Amino acid sequence: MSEPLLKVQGLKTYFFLERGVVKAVDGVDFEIKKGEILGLVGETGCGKSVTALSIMRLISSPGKTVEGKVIFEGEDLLKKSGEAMRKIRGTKISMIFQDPHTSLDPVFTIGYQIAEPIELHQVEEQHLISAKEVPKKVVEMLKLVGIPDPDHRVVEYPHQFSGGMKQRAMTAMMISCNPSLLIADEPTTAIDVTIQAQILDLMRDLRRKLGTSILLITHNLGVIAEMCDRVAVMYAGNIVEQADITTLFGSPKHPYTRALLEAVPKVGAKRRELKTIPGMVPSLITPPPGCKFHPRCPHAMDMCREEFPQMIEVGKEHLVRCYLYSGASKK
Amino acid sequence: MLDRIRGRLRTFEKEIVITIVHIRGYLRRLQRSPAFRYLRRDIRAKVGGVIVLLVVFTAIFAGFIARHDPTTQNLSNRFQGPSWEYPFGTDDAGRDIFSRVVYGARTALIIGTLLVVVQTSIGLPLGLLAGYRGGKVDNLIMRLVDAVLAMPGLIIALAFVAVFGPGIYKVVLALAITGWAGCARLMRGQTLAIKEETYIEAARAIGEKDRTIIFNYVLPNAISPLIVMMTMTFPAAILLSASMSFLGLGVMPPTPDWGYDLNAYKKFMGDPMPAPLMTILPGIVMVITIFGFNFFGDALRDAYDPRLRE
Repeated sequence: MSEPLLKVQGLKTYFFLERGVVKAVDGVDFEIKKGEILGLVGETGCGKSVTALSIMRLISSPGKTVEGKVIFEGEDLLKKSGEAMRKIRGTKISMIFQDPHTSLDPVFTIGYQIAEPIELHQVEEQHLISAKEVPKKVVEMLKLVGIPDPDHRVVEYPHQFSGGMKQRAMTAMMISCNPSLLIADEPTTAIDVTIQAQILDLMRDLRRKLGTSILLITHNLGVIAEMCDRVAVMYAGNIVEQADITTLFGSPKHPYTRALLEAVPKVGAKRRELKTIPGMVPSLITPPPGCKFHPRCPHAMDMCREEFPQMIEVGKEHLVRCYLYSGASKK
Repeated sequence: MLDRIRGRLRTFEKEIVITIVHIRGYLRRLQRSPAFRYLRRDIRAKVGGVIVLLVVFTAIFAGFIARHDPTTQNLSNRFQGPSWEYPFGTDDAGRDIFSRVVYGARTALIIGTLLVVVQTSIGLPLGLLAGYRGGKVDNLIMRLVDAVLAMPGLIIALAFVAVFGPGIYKVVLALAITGWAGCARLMRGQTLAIKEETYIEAARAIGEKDRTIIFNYVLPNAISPLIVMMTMTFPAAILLSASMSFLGLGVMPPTPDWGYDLNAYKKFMGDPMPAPLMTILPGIVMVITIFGFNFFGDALRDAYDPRLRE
């Protein structure tokens, strides 16, 4: 098996607040292969975005990545110097943000902003292209992400773009230096449903054309089903289940995953009350002992309250963090 | 050789043309901007703007507007009342008061401009740094700002001048000692708010350097309240420097200055030699000037604050 592009091991990112330590990411492991799309799902506040920001090393005080490894192309990003890391951002790993309306600087034109990473990395640092070619490349990027009439739209300001077009422009900016990993943090949450499909198509296209691996963060299971090769389900700072897409949707194992899937409304299903997961997301300062899901879990056992479960392999590349599937539960 | 010079000139020419195009584009955008459209409808902006332009014009072309040298004494011509030749009359040394007021505008504007430049160039980088870096740097700078703001500005300025002596530049420095703090605090607040915007995170995600983020991303977004503050600094500077001159610790005699003149002429307000117009006319000019700047500044502030626009 080939070496994965990105391998995250035991990643722990804590926020040190006055009222306690928030363990936003508390031991996360996963890997992404070249050209793969990995989905990261979970409720709001379960640590998805913090995981993404930790990989980019963009966590700022009072947050800190206290433990773990982020091995990208064979090197641990957490050990890199600030300057080396800065050069990686935008060239090898880049990130698309949730809200395209606030992710673009309102005082500069779209073209200027897309030119920024190209000038910074490809012209100044890598000398791949000359400064004169930048405008041409910017227009090319706009064309690539499917903005109509790119020659004229480059000189427009963000407020003259619609939400979907802003997200496209944002994507153009982020892929302009051909990153091998694209982190998309809820790229479709803030935009129209019809445009969502276009943005997802665009990302799939990019994977096909450029071979970019994508870490897709979302709480929308529909998007996951549509896009991903593999899925990791996160709950309260941990990954609780990981499997390829058909396995996860076909035979989900973890009670949390099952509850999540049941909470999705289905078109054509018999009318009944939509299922919800009882209880609340636990506090990340004082998480419940043992399995963090046990207070809301219908199958909770004594041992779930006592000890934090380990990942168990229940099938080919199908991992679950639950005692229901360990030999111990049967006794 | 000649060709090379010609080539240089041609590129230089091209650059000038590009610059002009840029400036024209900027002005056109400015005209279309909501803030500018607001200003055009605002009566305070019109009145204030006219006064400001008038004062600036007067200061620049003082030599053409004044009919006499502001410092030449003519003792046979003392205490003339207002006339066509001497619109504001003459003073106890026979100098034309109107000319002194006209040249005084120049002094006032020089002090205002220099103060804006000096205190912005201290306060702006410190505020940006404090807001962007946060933590210890922020704490250090802001505690210094707190300490400076706790001091009475005018008294500190007077003390400074008392030690280092009077003069235009020293007055500016004296006022800047405390003046930068407000600017730093304003910039820090702006930076703190802008720093949290997603486009700053996005800038970091494409690998921008901190320096670039501060100057190319934060600063342009924080500039409008700063412009308002700079406009409001002018009247404050004029008033403060006039106060200092009035107390005899500001601009020194041969230089025409409104505050100094008010002080010199105030002894003619009543007995034994009543000539109150000597004080009142320059006083009115000064009041109108400050009034105009404040008016314009107020309108500018509202123009940049969409919530107040309706």
